[in-house]
Amino acid sequence: MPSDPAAVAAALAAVAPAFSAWRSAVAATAEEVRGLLARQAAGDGAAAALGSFAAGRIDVGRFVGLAVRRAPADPAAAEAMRRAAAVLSALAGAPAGEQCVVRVAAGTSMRDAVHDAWRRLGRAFGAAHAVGLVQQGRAATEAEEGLVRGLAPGLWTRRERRVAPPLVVDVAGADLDVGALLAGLDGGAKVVLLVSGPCAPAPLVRLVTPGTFVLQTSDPAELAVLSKVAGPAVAALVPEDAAAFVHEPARGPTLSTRLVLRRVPKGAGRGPVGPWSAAQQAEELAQLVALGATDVPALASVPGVPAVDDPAGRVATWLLGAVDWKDLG
Amino acid sequence: MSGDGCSLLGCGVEDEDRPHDMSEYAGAAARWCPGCGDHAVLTSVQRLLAEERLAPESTVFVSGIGCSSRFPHYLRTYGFHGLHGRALPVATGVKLERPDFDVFVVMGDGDCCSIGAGHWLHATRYNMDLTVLLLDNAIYGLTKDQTSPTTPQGFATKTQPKGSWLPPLNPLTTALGVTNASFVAQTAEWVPAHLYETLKAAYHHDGFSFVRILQRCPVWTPTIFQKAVKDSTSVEVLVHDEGVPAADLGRAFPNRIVHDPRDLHAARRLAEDTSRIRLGLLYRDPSAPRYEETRALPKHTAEERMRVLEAELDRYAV
Amino acid sequence: MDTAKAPVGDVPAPAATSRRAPRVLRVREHTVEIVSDSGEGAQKCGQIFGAVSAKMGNGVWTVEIIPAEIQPPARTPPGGSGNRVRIGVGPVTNGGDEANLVVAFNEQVLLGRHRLHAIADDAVILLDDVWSRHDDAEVRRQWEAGLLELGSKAYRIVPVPLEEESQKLVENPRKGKNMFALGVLCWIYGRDLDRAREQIAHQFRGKKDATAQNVALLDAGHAWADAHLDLRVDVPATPTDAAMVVTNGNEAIGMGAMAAGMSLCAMYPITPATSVSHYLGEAFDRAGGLLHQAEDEIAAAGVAIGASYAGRTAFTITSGPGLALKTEFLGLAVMTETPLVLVDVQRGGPSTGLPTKVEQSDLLAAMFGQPGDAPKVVLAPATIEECFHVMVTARRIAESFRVPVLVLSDANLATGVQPWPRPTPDAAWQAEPPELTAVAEGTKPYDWDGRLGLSRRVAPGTPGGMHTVTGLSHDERSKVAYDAETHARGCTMRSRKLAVLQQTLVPPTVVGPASGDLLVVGWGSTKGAIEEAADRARAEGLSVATLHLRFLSPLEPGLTEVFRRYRRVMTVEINYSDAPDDPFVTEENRRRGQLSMLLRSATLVDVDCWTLVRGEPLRPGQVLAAMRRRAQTGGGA
Ligand SMILES: Cc1ncc(C[n+]2csc(CCOP(=O)(O)OP(=O)(O)O)c2C)c(N)n1
Ligand code: SF4
Ligand SMILES: [Mg+2]
Repeated sequence: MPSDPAAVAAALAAVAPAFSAWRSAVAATAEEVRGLLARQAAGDGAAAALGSFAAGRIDVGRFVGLAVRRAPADPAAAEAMRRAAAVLSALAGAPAGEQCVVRVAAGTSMRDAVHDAWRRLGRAFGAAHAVGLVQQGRAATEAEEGLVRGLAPGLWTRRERRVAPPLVVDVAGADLDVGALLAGLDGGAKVVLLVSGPCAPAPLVRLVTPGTFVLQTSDPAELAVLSKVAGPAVAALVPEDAAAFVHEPARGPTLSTRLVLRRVPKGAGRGPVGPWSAAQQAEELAQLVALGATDVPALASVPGVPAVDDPAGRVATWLLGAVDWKDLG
Repeated sequence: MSGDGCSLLGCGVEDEDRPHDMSEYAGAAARWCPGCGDHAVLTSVQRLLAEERLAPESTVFVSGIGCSSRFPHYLRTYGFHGLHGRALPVATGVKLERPDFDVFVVMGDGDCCSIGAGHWLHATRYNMDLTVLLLDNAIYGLTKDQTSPTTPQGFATKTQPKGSWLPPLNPLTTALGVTNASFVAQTAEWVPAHLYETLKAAYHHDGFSFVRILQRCPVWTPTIFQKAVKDSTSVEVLVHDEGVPAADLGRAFPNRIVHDPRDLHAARRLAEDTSRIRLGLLYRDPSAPRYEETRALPKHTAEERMRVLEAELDRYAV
Repeated sequence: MDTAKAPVGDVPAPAATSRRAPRVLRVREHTVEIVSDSGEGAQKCGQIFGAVSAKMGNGVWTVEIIPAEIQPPARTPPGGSGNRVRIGVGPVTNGGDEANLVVAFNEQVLLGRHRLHAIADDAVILLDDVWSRHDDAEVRRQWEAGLLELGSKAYRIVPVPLEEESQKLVENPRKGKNMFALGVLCWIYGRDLDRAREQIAHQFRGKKDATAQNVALLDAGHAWADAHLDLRVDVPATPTDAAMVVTNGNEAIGMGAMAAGMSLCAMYPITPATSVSHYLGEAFDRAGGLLHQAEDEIAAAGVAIGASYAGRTAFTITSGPGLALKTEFLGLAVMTETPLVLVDVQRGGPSTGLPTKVEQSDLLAAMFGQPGDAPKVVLAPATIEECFHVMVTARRIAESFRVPVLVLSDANLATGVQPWPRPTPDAAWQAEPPELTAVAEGTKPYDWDGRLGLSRRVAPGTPGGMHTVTGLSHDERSKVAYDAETHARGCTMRSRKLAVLQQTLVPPTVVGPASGDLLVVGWGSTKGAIEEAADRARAEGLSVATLHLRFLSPLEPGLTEVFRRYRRVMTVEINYSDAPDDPFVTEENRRRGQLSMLLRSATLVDVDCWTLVRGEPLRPGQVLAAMRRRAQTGGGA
């Protein structure tokens, strides 16, 4: 069941700054590569490049002969550059809705879908890298062609990760596999998961690491905070019966200050969801509570978050009661 | 850091290739006088570059003219040694064009507080992400002993042999008085640990980080900081969790004062009282708007620019 | 054109009782002026009239009439504000000589134009006569004295109740007269009312009520004229299929900068350059460009240089006083061989001078204003169209030669409005600078080709190319060096680039006979007036040719050879020169026009000059008079 268009729009809006940074970088690179290509054809383009004011006033032939440095014309290199330029232009030209939305068909692998998208977008980095190879005189190798075909996030450099393209993943709760995100979730990566259908209660808890912003919520309006996060960030829009929490690295030095639990579901984890057994779900939920429940006053201090008066012990007791042990066998 | 619209070419070079040894950031041999405080600042900056592993090709040091402004020549990064007093506009241009670069500015007290004072105020207000070092030796060093705006009143120089006529300008209160100031700190080159930590905090601040570095000039102002150097009790160190780490200084500098760098009024009060030298972070506001952000525009491809141009021509078509 | 609408029979429409059938004057060109007190909107009237005329296919040149003060007192001769619009059958290249028809909102502003000899002897003047009936006796006295003074010319003064009629539609007597006057003008010149309405809607876009009210005034003016006036003027329009745009020179510069792929303009407001930034402030960010209003002109130059140093060539715009402030930075750009485009929209000088008025007196400051030897390129567009195209060429030269390029426009181009052929932007104009690619480790930042003085720029961001540029004398590795050899070589290399550029230039074309009595040389905005004057001179049988320079530094090649083919060579410029017969002035101490000084030193030809510094665009008639004197007598001023 695909997510509703409003949720997709909210997700795209939340990642718009990240997309704009990424697209700008790709557009600038496309420009630069085109500039390099133009220079290889400098002789031909020079008259045009000098503009109409120069027409009849500058002898273009002489100007080019004396003042324009031409890059040596290597056809293979030019071809490689053109390939790279085409990839970059295509990526710079497509809107976020086309490039960054991944729809995981029911029953298929979210990992494959997400990695395919990243590889496809990673072609921009591959193309830039290929141009570098060409400039170093290592043109048109197998490696260069491969780069342009796709570059997995594992191969992105630190600097590239800072302008990583954002993703919006539309996925059924049963197919949700947050482990698929680990390969790309650093630098400036932004991922929004739009989860529909039955869903584990705290799937995102596995992604809580010191530098990563993690938001699990049922309110599409909340996704907007993503646009203000500088580092890696993931947000999931989950059904009402899942947990709601946020892990904000900027909030403080300790986990308990960074993690804010907003809702811990009752009645969740009654049965398996996709490959996730009830026990696994319960474990995730328990982990979430364990991570966040140590600093209860911090929760109460967040405006808009209902105060949780009971201490960690009460939550744990409740949890034990809520879990369906049948599946544990 | 990657700003909007900076090309990916070059991003593919892995960070492992980067130098991470201070010596790899060294440029030409520094030619300041022996004992000149600028040497210590250079060392500290080289250490910062190494520890932060900044890419030399995307790091730019912009300076004015003066002894201190020779700084970029002694680093193996890009450098722009421009005009007396005009480092900040050049740095502004560099940062506007390449927000992804790490841009440092090095100025002398004449450079920053006299001829370039107007730019200083406005650059503070723009609050671009620049790391700005004022090497304050309270004298015009390069041109050999003329009074600067920070020369202590009564201190004799070649232009004012009867002693400086005016009370000195206070760079800290000046900086703290400017709208949108976001980082103001003071350190001294003879306290290398504090100098380093201050530079590091300045570098990590997103915005215009202004660091006044008290700098000895053994040639023209040997006496000015003598007392402070010899008698560390005449110095007060600002301490706070949010400030510049100063734990190791405990023994050498017993005088400490707790100052929360988020408190602008307290910062101004401390800066105003010049009865003692204070080292530390006076003020930091990471939320102050940055010009390169407020003015950031997505980069357009040539085709997009051409489309805009055609639309412009349509507007004026007959 | 619809011709006479004679009243039918004995029962004419009541409003048209006093009118005879309109006479239609058919002419090849006509010059109209609309003048009012400042704030009464005559400029808007003129602009719309010009735009409508251009859209109908007439050649048009619009010149602003600017009061001497910002808030001039009402009803004073120097306080007049408005527009001169010259329309023609074919292209119009300048504001012309004297106005043939004037719409004046009061007799005082009219007197201002009269005293400047801006009005033709036989002009038709539509004058609001509400002042003759004014409550204040002093106003009535002024009116009478004014009309007496105007009586010295054979003007045909037609009273028009601008204020009384427009007050039927608007309350404020100062608002609304302009659009009523526009309606009157549209009737006289047979302008298409729909186009006028469209143009009003464009001017007041976003303000529905204002548009409706102004359209009502337009229609009222038109109806009033139809009922009361008896003179119509027909300047046949030749609608062309060629796409045209209508802009002033500053808008053209702004668009040209965008077309040239420049993406940063740093400036500080100064008349008459500011309107470039007004234009860019609106349009530039749509194209991804950044307009940076710096704290002063020095900073503006510094920001532009910093940005150019770090990548794409940036530009800065200014006028005389700002040019003075940018001097030190210009020298730095020369020394560090940083590409830069600086546009100077010249105004009257020295000092604050004549902020709103035209002069061409920054030429030598642009070329030689920097201490030390600072060779750089100086270009001068001659038309509004060239203001657009020059930006592309300027950026390309700046990058190819690693040199600052100064573009000298002026207040005449800045505020003149004209239709010109719509350019076809070329993607090649947008190309990235050639230097932003990787270099081999150890590449010298000034790896001068010893013959050409050219070297490849190593911009920051380039791995392996780290170095520090400096304004101090330096060697090829950018190492500071004060030794004799290094300094001399640096100077030679920087200068050589200009010689090389000059060798790529094509000798300029001469308009008119290839040899003869007089060659007039001009530069910048005076081209239209000079060439029109020369046409008329040749029609009178004089042997006059003209040559208009676009490259001032380096100078275009072959000038000596061209100059030798004429008995006399004379520059025509809007800057100061001593008249040869002025007291104390001798052939030796005479201070000559700036271009003439340049040409004399470059060619060793005795180049004379004729210049005016009245803050006005040259009128072709003035230039013609000077040509007649020089061509016939061969001497004297
Ligand atoms: C426009 C201009 N005016 C004056 C100078 C001369 N000048 C060079 S450095 C300097 C003062 C240097 O003092 P400061 O900025 O404190 O730097 P320091 O040498 O002390 O490090 C002066 C006046 C100049 N280079 N340019
Ligand atoms: S003169 Fe003073 S400031 Fe300059 S280098 Fe020597 S010691 Fe340092
Ligand atoms: Mg100093």
